Amino acid sequence: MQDMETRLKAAEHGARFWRQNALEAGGQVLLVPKADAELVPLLLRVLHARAGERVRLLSQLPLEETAFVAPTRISQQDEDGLLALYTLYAFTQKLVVVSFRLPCGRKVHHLLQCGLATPEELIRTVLL
Amino acid sequence: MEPGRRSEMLQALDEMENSGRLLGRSIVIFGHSHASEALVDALAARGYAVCAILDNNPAKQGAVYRGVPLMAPEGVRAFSQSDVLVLVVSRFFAAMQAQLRTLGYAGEVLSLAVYDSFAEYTVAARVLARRQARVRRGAATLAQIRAQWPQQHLVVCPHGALGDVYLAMAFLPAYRAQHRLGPAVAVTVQGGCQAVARLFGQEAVALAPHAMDELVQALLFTGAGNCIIAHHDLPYTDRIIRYLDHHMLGFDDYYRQAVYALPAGTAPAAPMHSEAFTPKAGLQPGNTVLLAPYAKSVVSLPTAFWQALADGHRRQGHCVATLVFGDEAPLPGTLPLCLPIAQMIPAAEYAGHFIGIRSGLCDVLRSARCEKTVVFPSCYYSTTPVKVDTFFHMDGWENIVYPGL
Repeated sequence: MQDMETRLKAAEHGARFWRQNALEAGGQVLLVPKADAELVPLLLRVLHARAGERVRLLSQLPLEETAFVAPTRISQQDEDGLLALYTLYAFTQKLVVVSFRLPCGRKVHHLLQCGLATPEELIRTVLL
Repeated sequence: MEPGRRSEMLQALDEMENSGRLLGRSIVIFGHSHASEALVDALAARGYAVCAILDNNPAKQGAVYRGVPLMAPEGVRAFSQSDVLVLVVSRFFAAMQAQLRTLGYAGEVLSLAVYDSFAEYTVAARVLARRQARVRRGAATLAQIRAQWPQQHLVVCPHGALGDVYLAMAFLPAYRAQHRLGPAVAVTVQGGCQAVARLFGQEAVALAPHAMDELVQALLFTGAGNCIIAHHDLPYTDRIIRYLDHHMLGFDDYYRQAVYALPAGTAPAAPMHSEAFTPKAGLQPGNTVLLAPYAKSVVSLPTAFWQALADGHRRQGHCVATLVFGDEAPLPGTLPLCLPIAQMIPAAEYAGHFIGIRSGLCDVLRSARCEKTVVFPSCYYSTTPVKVDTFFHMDGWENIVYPGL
């Protein structure tokens, strides 16, 4: 459990990041937390298979730009800030956190644990 | 529709009517639900007709409620923007408002009851400040709960629905065993939910709806440990309900597997506590039908349906009673029966036959040893493509779908 004041400051940083990058103006914004690096190959496969509109992908991980993905390299502070803001209130419909466990308390991984879906299915049908 | 939200909606309507804001407007409602049907009814009672109900669920589009067509949200374009007034009684208000703006609708969109205090689609500084204050209040509530129960696992039931709390409690023993957890405390919304938790012998604390939302927000924001938010569709940060868009998973399995991650065969526990039921004059043991025609979330069935059912049973020589709560009216010719949750099972067993619209009361009566019939409207569950009678099927009950809506 993080200190409340630290977390509130992080949320303020998240709001600034969201505003400064004009993220509300575009389409879907995918945030891949550093802790979920193993989901990236699956996510890219799903995005390319659905061949939908190009999505903004925020991650600390280095990612290649493709026809369906416009990556932005972010810092740990940015990631923490966006996650803090997302848990402070539902500030947008456009942000998707590509994780089965984050934000803290998310139960998507239970579907995996119970054998109800594969990771790729969960990304395609539950997260996106 | 929950009584608190209903009175909030009616009060908002009164204010709009008194200020003349409804006059000469083309009224459109966004979202089809029990609440929006209640809104159509309330407007009709005041002499205002609704032009359309917009809904994103393709399965609902094309249906009609009291002569009002259900159509896709794009249907809003068919009306003159200056005349249209879009009314919403849904937890998806913020999303609906944003969607209408995307569709080019720039007119008024009003929420008549606060269903979702979590969403506000802006990062404006004033909103951020308000949200920070809100999460601090939630943290203070959490601190108060923790002062009383420092070690207990908190099982937070965020939605004030009896059925949700019933399943959260029914699978709690297995969840505690799986994780070798000690005693737990249920945190519920005020009203019958706390009583449902107590049926399972579970210590429970009840919060006002706004305090519950603040607590949930604080749990999310701080990442508090030793707790679980036990719901299949809340909070917004979880997305497990979306599984239903592509795969079928029934109500029980949502709690068993998606909420608690228990193995498929895990059996739910049955309630262990009840209060003695003192029969009311006129009720006959084993020859009484308890009718429960009211529900808060699924859409209502016509009164004529229930009346015919009551009349039919009376003709067969059965005593018929209507289970009521608050200002709900008993069906004409039936005995009104207003009971605490803890007496429901003994009352149904005394009566012999329970017939109810699918509501949380049906969950409460799962373990009652009597004849049980559940009636479903023919409609879809929330935003999903799954019919309510499929999602909420009751094993061991007679399941009936009323087709005539």
